[in-house]
Amino acid sequence: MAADTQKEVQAMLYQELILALRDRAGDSDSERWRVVRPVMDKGRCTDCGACIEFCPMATIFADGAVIRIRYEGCIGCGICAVNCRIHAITMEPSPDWHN
Amino acid sequence: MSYIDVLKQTQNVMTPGSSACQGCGGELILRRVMQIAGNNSVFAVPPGCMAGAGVDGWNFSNGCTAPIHITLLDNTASFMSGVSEMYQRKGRQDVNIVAIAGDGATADCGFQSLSGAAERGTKMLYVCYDNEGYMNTGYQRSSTTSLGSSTSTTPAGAAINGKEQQQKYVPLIMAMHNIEYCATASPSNMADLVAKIQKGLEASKRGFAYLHVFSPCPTGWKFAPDQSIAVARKAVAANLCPIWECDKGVFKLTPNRRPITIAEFVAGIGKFKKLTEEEIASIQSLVDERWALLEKLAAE
Repeated sequence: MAADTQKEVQAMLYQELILALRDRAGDSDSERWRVVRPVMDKGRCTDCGACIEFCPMATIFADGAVIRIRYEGCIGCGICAVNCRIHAITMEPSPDWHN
Repeated sequence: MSYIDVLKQTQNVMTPGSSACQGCGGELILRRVMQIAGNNSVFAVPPGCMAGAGVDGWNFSNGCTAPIHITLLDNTASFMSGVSEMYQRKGRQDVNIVAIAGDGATADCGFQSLSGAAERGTKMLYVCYDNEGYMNTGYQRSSTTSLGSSTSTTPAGAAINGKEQQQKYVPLIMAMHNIEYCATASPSNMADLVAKIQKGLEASKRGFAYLHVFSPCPTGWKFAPDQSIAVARKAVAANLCPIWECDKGVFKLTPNRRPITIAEFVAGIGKFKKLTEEEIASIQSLVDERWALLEKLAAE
């Protein structure tokens, strides 16, 4: 298989895996027990990528040139907020947190 | 391409989310190594935090897109020696053979298999995330635990005041095996870490490559999860984790521009709460001697 085709197939499989897991996640999603979650102020954010660099859960990703947070899997550790040099990320109470 | 672009553009091999603790340094290192190595790799992760946290998939909620073996605690390097040999014979030199182990599986239990694989020059990359203890089972002491650390097997109390021995410095021992590439890194210096993973993977095509990465553990060390990177940064500044590399026997030490003292490093970390002045002075003299030795090695 040519290297490019192999890469395309791998990328496709990865997307499918993520989608399949997202469907199954349901109850085990961290949204239920995460107390605080990071909220990005896109007005201040310069898309520098420092949060991608340090997020241990890989829930922050680059959507083209724009940095976004994917909340599935985020456990609210706050590393992104502490390491944001321009303070564009704040930790806010998680809306779906059940006591 | 800058390292941030590399991180933006490459896919994660492990899907987002796992059951690791908040602010886990080990998981950050694991994801970086897997991300840079890519899907065309075979990974081995011995029992420890990362195997426990579900690197191979957890509760149908996440998964890994590359082959991964959960080896035994003591045979990671010998297991991967066999895997590496098989891929060499099949003519698949393009496959990255990568082991990612904690300090217990590297410095204690797995040390003889690691030393054997290094001596044989097995074509693989071995990454150790050093969180200074057996964190998966509730922080028992390991040989890389710092002096005076209060662990569950060396609790600070009336009889002893935390661990009584100094830590073992594994990366220099590995460098003395005359391996292809040996380096230390810290997640706080991400550009350096990414470059060293790339260099280590490249060196793993020629021989044995070893990477020792400092990994702060908020749960075991008792500090706030969001301070993980700050603690790693302080450890580098305090010379507890000097950043250096040894490429084919040539040492290169990254200078420490703003050094701080060990007393400044231990402030705020729960496991060092009961450290005495003598213990702080003892760790300080250890790190100073280590730095002097590394400077001498790098000067030659």
